[in-house]
Amino acid sequence: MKLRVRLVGAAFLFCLLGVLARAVSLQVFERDRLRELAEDQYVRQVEIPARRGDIFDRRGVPLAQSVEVDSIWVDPSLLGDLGQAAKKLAPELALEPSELEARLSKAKRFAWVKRRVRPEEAEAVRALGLPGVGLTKEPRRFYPQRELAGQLIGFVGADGRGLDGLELAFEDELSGESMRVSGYRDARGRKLLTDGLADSIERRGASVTLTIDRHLQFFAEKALSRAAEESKAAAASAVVLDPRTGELLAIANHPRFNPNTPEKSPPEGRRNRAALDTFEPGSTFKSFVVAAALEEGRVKPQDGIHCENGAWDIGRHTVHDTHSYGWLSVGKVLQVSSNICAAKIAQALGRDALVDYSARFGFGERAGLSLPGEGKGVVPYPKAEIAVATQAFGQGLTATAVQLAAAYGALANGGVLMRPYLVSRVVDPDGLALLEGRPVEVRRVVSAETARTVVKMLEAVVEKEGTAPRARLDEYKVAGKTGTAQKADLVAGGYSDKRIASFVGLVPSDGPRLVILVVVDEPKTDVYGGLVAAPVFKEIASAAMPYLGVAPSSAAPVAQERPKPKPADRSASRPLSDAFLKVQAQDPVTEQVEKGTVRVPDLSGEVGRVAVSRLLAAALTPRLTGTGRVVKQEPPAGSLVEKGARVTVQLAGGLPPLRQ
Amino acid sequence: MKGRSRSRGKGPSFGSVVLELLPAALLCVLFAAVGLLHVTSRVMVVQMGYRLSELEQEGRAISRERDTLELELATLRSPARLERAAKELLGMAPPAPAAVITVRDTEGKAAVPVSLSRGREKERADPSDPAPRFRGRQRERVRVDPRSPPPLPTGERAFTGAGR
Repeated sequence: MKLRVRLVGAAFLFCLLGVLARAVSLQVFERDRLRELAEDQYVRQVEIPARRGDIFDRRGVPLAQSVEVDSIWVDPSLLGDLGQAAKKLAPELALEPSELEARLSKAKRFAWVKRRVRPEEAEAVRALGLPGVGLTKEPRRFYPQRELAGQLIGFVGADGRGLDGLELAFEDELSGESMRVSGYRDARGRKLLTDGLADSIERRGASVTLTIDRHLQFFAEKALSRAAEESKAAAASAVVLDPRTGELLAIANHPRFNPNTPEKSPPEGRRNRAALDTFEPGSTFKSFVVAAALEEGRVKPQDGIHCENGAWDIGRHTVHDTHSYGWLSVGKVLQVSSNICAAKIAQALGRDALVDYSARFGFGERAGLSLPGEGKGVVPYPKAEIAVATQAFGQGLTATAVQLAAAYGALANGGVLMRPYLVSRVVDPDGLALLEGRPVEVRRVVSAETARTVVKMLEAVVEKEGTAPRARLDEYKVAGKTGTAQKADLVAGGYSDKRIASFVGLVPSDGPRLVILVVVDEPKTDVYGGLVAAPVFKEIASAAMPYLGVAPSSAAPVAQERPKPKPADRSASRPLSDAFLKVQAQDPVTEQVEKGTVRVPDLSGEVGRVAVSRLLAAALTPRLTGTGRVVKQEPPAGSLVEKGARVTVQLAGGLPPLRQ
Repeated sequence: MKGRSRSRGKGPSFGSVVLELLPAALLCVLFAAVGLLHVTSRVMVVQMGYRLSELEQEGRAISRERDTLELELATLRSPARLERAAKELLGMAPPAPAAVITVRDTEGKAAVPVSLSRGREKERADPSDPAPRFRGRQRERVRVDPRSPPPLPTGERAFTGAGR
């Protein structure tokens, strides 16, 4: 009896030990392997791709933005008749049925039908309801402004990685990090998250804010493309820069490029020539030679230089002018762009100083825009006498358009070179600034006085006798310089008969707000900078100045002081004053009541512009709120106020304000 | 052993049996409760997991929609389109430089272009926003008939509808 009990006990114990041993082996020794096997079956690493950061213009309007769109895939094994399915799918997606069928028949369990489709395409495919067809979300990069600054922004490839321009330059910052979240997937394929979600903020790339202003960019591109097409140019570029800060406000290139469809453009159309390519600047370089010579005291503004009547021999070479000149003052040399006199000034300056000042103006040194493949330019040491001469008129050295614009910026900015920059902020999603562009003074190149003298000389260029009367603006003083460079012939050596026409202008020249450089490559109709490039400058400047709210230059014909309220004063024949003069005739309230005081005119129902004109006419300071027509004014009409008092006018009924 | 010795007496009273079994019963109940709790919490975790992924999906859908709308807004506001709409639909023209009045402050610094859209500018925190660009024609219209009604939502509808 006892023996039997013990035997049974031992048997149970043995079994128990067996179970225990197995448990230990499973739970301890094979634990990891088994867990992996199990998780393979039901845990999925759900990958949440990071949303690529946006690129904004200086006002926060997106230039590049990522949005998730549908991609269509298919499991061919569930599809049944491939040919039939391909025939149904292809027309909805604008694909070739035979090509699609071939692609599907190659794959076993998975094939992309079309990636990143439009919403209506996705809807059409969903409506077909074919078995084995699935939709998944993939981020797609959009460029809502289309061609605007296309070459500058660059584009991304099919995998969403930046391939060119800023997209490439800031790839690391923009892309962010994809996150892996472990979750379960049940038998029905539903996702089941157990660990919770990380903050969505971590799934975004940093955003890049540029110094580019999309409206200035638009003005520049429009003017540039029109001119380039009219002159049948091979290419063209324009740079708009704020000389006081070095901010690049626009970088335009022609031919234009739409980064939404990079495959449709040839590689040369994608090239951001303005920042990347170097060219021989030509006569635009003369300003720097003159500035250097003035600064070093080698010439004085009123000095006369003899221009050898159009041809001057230097060794075995001859330098020519387009027109022959005798004695010219330094300012006149710039005005008519004499090569010979510029060469003589460079000789007076000397080789070392020439090279030194080129470097000080920022030539031969990368502008540092953080764009991949940015050009550097070369200013070789001019050993030969002829090299000194050619460098004086900008041949035999190269620069990028941005360098040239920045160097003119130094003249505009009282002789201080500012570092040109393009990116004002790179901010990661939690608001930490990874990079912040600020105005940086590089160096003082010439004295403020020299800079002012040169700018003064350049004002003559747009006068009737200068090389670029077509760059003249009525309301704003302009200083500028034309350039017509010969292009080096890379095949045959020497120079070809192809030209690069350029114009660089400072506006308004009595306190420059913008430097605008226009470069037209190989124009076919006219080749001179004053004819091809200067009108582009004018078009950009005349749109940009009112846009920036720059007051017209004081010496310009437009009266800057408040218009006199006399109806007889018809001298200001601007269309604008017509409007207010007309109103004046209707109700002449502005009679002087007492010295130093005026009556507030009745503005009710007026359009804002007219209200402002009338307030200015009455020597009052307008302040507007809202848009549309005047609904309220403070102080009320007819009250006596001091001259120059502020009148607040409330407008309503205009177009509703756009929301950001 | 103990039980046997008791059975020899009067036999166990009902109360004593209950007393005897109470700890075991309580233990059972406790185990059951814990088990139930555990299962319930697991079920809740699973349900919450579904809920979470649903909400996550929803959140993604919403932010996707926002992105899409933002993209649409940016597309509609592209300068090229605005210019076309202003010129073709509203018959506006870019103002000549002289048509923009620059009001100098009494201190004589910061000049601000005067336009109909000061309110708009305030919103965008930049005084030189381009809204005044397309105002040129409007002024002319006013010159013809100062009492003409302001541009109304009909024009606005045509304006925004153009890009679709």
